[in-house]
Amino acid sequence: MSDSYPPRGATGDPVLEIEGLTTEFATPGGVVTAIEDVDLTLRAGETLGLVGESGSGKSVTALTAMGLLEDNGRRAAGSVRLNGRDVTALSGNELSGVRGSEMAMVFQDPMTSLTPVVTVGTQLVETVEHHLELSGEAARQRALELLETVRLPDPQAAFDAYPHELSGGQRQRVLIAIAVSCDPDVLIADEPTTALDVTIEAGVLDLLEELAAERGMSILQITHDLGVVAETADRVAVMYAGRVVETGAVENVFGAPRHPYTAGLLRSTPRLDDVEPELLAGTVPEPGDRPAGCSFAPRCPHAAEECRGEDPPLAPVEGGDRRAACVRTAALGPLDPEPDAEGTDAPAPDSGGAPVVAGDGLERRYRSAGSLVERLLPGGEPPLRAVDGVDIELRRGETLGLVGESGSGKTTLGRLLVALEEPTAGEVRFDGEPLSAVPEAELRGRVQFVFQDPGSSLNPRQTVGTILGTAVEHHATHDGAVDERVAELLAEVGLGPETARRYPHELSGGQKQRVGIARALAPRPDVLIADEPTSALDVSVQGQILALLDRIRAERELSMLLVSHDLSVVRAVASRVAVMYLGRVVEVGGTDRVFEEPLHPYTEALLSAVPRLRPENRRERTLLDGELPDPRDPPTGCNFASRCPKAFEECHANDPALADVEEGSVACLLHSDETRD
Amino acid sequence: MSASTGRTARAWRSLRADRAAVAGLAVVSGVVALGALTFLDAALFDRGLIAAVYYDPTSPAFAPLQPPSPAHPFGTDTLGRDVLARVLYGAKVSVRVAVTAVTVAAVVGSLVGVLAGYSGGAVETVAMRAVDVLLGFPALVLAIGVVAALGFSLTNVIVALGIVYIPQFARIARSSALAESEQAYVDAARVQGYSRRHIVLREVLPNALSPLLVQASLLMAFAIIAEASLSFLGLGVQPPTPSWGGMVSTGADYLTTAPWISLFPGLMIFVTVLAFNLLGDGLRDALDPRESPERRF
Repeated sequence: MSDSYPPRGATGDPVLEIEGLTTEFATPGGVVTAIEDVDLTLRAGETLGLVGESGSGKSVTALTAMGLLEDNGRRAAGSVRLNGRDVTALSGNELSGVRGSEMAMVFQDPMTSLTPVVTVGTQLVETVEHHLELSGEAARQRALELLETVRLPDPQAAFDAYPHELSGGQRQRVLIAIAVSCDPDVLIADEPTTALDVTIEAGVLDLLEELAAERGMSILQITHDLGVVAETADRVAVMYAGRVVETGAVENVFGAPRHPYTAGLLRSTPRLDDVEPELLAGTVPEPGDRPAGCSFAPRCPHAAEECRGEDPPLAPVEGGDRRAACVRTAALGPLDPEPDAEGTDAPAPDSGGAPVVAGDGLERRYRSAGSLVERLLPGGEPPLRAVDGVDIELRRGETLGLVGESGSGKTTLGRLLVALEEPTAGEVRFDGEPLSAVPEAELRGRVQFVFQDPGSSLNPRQTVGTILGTAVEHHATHDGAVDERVAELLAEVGLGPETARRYPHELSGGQKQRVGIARALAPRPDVLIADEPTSALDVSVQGQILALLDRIRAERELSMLLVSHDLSVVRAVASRVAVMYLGRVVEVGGTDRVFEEPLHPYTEALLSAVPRLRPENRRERTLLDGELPDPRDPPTGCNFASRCPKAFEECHANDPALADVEEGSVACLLHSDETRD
Repeated sequence: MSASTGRTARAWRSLRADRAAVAGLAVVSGVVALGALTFLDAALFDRGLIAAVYYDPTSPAFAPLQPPSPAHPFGTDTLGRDVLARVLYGAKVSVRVAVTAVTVAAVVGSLVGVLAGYSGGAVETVAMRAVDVLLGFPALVLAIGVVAALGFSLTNVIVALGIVYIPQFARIARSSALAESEQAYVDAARVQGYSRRHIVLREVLPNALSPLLVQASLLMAFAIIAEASLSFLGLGVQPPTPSWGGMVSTGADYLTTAPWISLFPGLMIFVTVLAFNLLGDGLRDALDPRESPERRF
């Protein structure tokens, strides 16, 4: 399919030119400049990746260009030209004419972008009637065609559905259909796949690529995910603290970055390859709190005296349209995008380790809460099988990665193992004893949990000192004063003692997660279960938290279960991996083996869907058909058979059991004949 | 932002920016101070303080039914008592009823509601159905029933209003506890092994407090009206103790000839109720994080 694409780095005419764009926001603390002097050029038919961590100003850039700023924001300087016309000079009405017909936008959250009370079809027809001046049957036909264009398997069904009846991926496709309905020249996609699972993300990215090629549409792809840029963009612009710091063809920028921030970002991103991600210390400064001189200088490993003087402009390097904003570009030369260290997956799978926490035939079913009458009557909706017969072992001293997409039951399994939920069937054993035989105090002291969202896992009304002090006192693990022990815990997670006086909302996301980890360490546990501990954090902060967890595990000889949807994260930290699909564990094995020679077709598809950081070897992704089946009504036979590219007849009849193979275990009829009864 | 600034400081800043709320707060503070002062005067000095600086509100020492004049700015009533002195002293009853009744209702109602919201299941069903039964009666009718059963006295008015307002707090406390219980910090407390008592009182309740505070300030207004209504009907404070509702009631027969007897206590009720409402609205906005005081270009 790639034959029909215009050549990479096509030098078509510019369609969208942003020059010297500066945007300010009014805040209670005064006016802050969110983006400053941003230059971007999007040429006909190309995809420009706009990448940066949160707070870098990438979304503000897009919103300013679209004229969609909230009332407290304004464009202070600069111009936005669309097909040669300055859109900043247009009136509100003229601008809404331009939006939709020449420039359209797709947002991150497909649920809130659609009206929940109106069917998808009606919303599409409205758009078509408004912009294309079609009506009645013609508009309906056009809407159906659009749904077909975005490869929805059953356009008629989607047409009649309400937004909540579609999956996240399907909703995102509907939004894309609305966005391309008027054949815009420019599509601004703001994190279009961030809320989606990797296998679904791959499909949506492919769709965008195909649509762009078919319609000669240019795409401004805004994302925090370097892999997405590497896989889809022709050119890339890297933003940091409100400025573009490097721009150029994606192969050049990712292959030989010229700005230390680009290099740092690339080196700190966890990869599927066996390399140790490096640390990029510090965080993006808040707008209004940016340092004098180069904003990156305080975090830059190459910073020199000259960096603290003036903010360097985006200047050409190497000719062409390659540009970087660094005073030391010439002195530094091209930088290495890959971390030096080989993977050091600490204690390789120590198969001799005794299991600390084990689940035996664990099952957790949820019934949708109906009325009293419904609950008493037989029949009704079948229960949702969140965890459907799982055997799992966490061995002493290891880090076990538990991966799966949303809806696979990995979080529920984690919660079952710390007794935050009761299993419907099966048993959790702790040190060989059933949980019911372990006293509550001992269990809570020895098994601890790190939560996904550090924002909501800390009580907003308590200071950090109170949060940690309560835990320390409760477990009576202190010899001296509580305050001293709190300071000790804070120091262990890399925070100063003054943090104890702060409230959670005064901390950054990474600092909050550090406090969450400190709280989990307060009882001196043996086992740490971390549920997506970094999914709410930026790449560089994610690296810092993972390194912290890994160091603590090693120092305290903890056993850790790391639940994550992100395969690269698991690769970087885990010594063994368990892969979940639809409530079951389908494959278990040593990290290197699972990532290099996956046995289960689902593991294979999952790995293939992860966007890679090397734009030079883009490859065809193994796309999975369709969506995750309804966990209330899983398919008969192997529950992956409905999407499996390798499924044969028997798979639809026989349900494979997790069977031991040479290195690990797998539940697939290709590798073992064992079936579940 | 300094280390000690929390949500409270932000809410206070936002409240101060709301002029209506500040006016409400000023009037409420004035009335409460007046109530406290008269309460102390009555309890410690047997009305000696007010008698020393002005007139005793209960002794009929003047010619009855005098219109407002420099000597008696609010006039005198049917028995020849100074209306201004009685209006000032009326604050004692109103404030005492409003503050105690609402406090009792708030404490009981919030605890019931938060426990129900956090626990769910049978605890929730029983507690909330009981609340529904209470809510089934019109508030004033229920209060009249309770007072009639217990006897006509100020204490019984407070008890009656305290019971009547429990459901308002229980419902709000339950729904905000329900929302807070979904937050991960509650799970975090469970993982630490904290007791249910600790989780309800130290984790959930403080976060469910804002809407309860707003409700309390709005209900103060209702309690003042309810006390006035009960006194108007003769069910509340017994003469000669002055109360605003009782004064409006005794003046009702003289509305055409001596309107000042009802007018001034009526005005006090109106102003105080309005002030509590303004303060309540202001608190609602100030405590809601979505209403951030952002400036606009």
